[in-house]
Amino acid sequence: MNSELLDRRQVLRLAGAGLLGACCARWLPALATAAAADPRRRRSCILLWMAGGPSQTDTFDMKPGHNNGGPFQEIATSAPGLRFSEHLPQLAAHADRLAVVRSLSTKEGDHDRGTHLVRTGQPPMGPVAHPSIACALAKELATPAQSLPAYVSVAPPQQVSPAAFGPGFLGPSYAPAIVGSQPPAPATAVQSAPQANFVDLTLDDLDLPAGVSELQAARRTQLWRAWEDKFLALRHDAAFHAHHAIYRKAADLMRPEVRAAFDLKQEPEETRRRYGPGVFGQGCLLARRLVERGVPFVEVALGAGGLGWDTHQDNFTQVRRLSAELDAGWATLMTELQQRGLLDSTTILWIGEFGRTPAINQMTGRDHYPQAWSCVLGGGGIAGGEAYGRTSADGMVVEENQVGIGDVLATLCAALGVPPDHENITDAGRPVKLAEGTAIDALLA
Amino acid sequence: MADRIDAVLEQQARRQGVTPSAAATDAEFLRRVSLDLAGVVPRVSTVRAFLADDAPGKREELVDRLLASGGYANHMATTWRNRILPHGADAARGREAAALQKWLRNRFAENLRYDNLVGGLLLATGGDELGPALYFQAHDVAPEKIAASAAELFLGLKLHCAQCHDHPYANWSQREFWGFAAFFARVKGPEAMGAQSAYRLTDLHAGEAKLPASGEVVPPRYPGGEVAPEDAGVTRRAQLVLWLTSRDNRYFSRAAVNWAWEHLFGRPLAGSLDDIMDASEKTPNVVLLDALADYFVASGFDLQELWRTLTLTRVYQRSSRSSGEAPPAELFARMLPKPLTAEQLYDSLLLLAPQRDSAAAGPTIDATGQLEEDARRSEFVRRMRPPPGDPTAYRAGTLQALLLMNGDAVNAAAAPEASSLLGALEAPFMDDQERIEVLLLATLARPPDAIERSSLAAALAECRDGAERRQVLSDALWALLNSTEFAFNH
Repeated sequence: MNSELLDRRQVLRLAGAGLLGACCARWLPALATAAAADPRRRRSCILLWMAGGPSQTDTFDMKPGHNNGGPFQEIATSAPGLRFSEHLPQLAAHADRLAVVRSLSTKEGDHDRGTHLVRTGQPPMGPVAHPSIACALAKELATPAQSLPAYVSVAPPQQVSPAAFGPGFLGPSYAPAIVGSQPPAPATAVQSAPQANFVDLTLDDLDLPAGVSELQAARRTQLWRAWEDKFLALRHDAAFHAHHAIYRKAADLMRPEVRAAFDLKQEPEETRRRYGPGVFGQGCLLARRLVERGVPFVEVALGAGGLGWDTHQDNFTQVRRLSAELDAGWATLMTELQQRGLLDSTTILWIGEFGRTPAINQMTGRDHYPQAWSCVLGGGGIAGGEAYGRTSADGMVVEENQVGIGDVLATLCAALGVPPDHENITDAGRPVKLAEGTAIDALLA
Repeated sequence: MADRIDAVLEQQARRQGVTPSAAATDAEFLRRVSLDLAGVVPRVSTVRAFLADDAPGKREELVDRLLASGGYANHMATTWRNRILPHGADAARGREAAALQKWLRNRFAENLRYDNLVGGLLLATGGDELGPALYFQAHDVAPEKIAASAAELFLGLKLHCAQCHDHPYANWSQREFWGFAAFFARVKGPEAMGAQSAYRLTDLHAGEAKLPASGEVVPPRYPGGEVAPEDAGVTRRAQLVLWLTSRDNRYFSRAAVNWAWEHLFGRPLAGSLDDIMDASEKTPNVVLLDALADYFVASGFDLQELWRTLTLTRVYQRSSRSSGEAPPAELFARMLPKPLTAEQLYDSLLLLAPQRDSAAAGPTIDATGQLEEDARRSEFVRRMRPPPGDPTAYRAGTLQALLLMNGDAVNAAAAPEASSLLGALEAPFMDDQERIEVLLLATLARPPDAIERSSLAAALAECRDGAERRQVLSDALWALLNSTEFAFNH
């Protein structure tokens, strides 16, 4: 009898042929062009999640000359009449592709409840485990042939409303693939590597377990295949074959040329620098790499560690710092998507769980404020260069075109070419719409 | 009763020209019934002893042993907890969920009558008795949510569709739904929750269920029955439990045995109980369900007796293989494979790699009184567990496969230095053939066949030293733990 399960020479041959070897990056520049030109290409979505609730008054709905306005100045943008904070200068150059919603009004002023409301379109504690809009949209936008996950999330908050970040009744196969959940390794005193200043982002469980060599992994796979072939040849249950297919897909994701999507070291140092060295900046760079490869949904959080935008104290120092990070990552992302012809098929939503009080409190901070706040849509399917809705001179109330969170989510769906009233069915047989509001026509290109 | 089940289902198969699958082997039966009743694969020593045993009654003895084990109580508690809580509710309330687990476990361990078990749950007051109140808490102490859940769990009725409008395909009116909800309208949770105070439920003397549109008060009324009389001496919940758990309430006993059947066979004996009530002609499966329900009532709602009866039928002891096309599932002419639940998977892996740094293996398998759960297990379950649905469908995705391929749970079991199984294979008196056999017995609960033996033996023979052999054994174990055969109960 020969060794059917394990052939050492075969393993070595596989290793030599590059299946296990280092990836070569020559084909990368052609990638984006191919992606943009593919007629079957569906749209992608990038959600920029601002954990803690960003201050609209200091970013996209400024109140210069009013007591509530604070010390920041407005600057002109590439869109006539649309003005941003002075701390978003690079983003201002892309304003013609951005639409600011200044009339968002919601009813949840608590981090958990607000996060749940904004991300699922539903207040928490209902009978249905609602999926995050990200999971639901990724499900609609995904293509079966895709090796990479349909929804990659960079460093989401870990503590606030976990349900709002998950797939709910859709089931764990629609859960996000999370990168950067481990805190980045502390910077070492001796930084010998040229890119030691940049955060690296890795996907959970994508790496081989510690102590398992690639040769060993190949042997495991060989053994596994032999075992599977033997079993499945005699068993025809669909569930057995579904199990096997999911493993093949996971193994596919581990292939060097596929997982290379997560290897930011393949990018020139200058590019990585433009995005900013932190989790958000490098997350935006990863978003661009994933969208280039056809991933339909990427989320990048800013301020997730400790709810950075929750600026009850010392608002202006913190918002200035966060704005710098936001500006570099987001603007570079817009630039690079545009250069690659991908901006027209990629819709971006910038939003947090609520806004912040226009009035400045005694600790130079701003508190939670869901009554009148802003979010920003941009890129594919969005009519940019405009502000929709208006708040009063003091920023306290919506004076024109008030919208709810359902309307914003419906607009996002519509911009992506997904009908907002598409229904998923819960396990109890109840149909649930992707978004319950009405898409805002004025914002759709 | 077991004979009657076999007779009815075999006659049906014959009538439809279906040949039932062959009897399951001892090894297949052992792994199946261990997973179904105790939630884990059998240990190597158990497999060996069972396969070597010639006694004719060894399957009955095995079932008795499993029903008496701590694994049974714990597995039933896990199954019930997942059943009665909304999906994901326990993740947010770890301490209460652990308490509920303990509360359920004690009841299954003493084989409390099923009617008393359900009654105790629905009459929970919390306070000193932490645990069952979580059922109410997780449903927000909202009468309509508790009513919808209780009707489905304990009556087999999908009344919740009638919450907003009359039921589209069964005879439940909106008024009947709210009449049922009225039994829970006077249960109230605590006003404010302190961090330390226990969650206490109280029964008030006021509180009504109202139709959503008109606001009309609906008096408490038993589904398909009468309006409950006003009785100041008894709480509404107690009135309901008295009716619900009565011997004469066929909804209650049918729902119980239909659930038990689904637990073992992967699909209920009779599909939707809503429809049964209206059907003019009963299908053979419904007739059988009724007989089983009567049997269950006559046994004194004895759950262990029910498991004993069902697992000793020929129907349960059929192979999951079928020659040719699969027969219609409602004939139960072969066993349907079920993916292991997240808990079955984790606990089975844990058997192979007991964690040395904590007593975690203790509470999960042989429960003690502590109220903290193994955090790694909870996290594994959170990432693996699909929402309620068809128990025979495989519903995980690539991330779950990655977790199993590269995550800690499998690799702790398969790593040469951590795995207690691989450690045992180091014993000097073992030769390669014995090592291969142990690997298979520990994972698939069956001895290897000739091909498996010879190919693994060839691989081991090529090894130059002990370290290399350990490596190959570790890789083979990894492959087995990730195999489709391991991932299912079949």
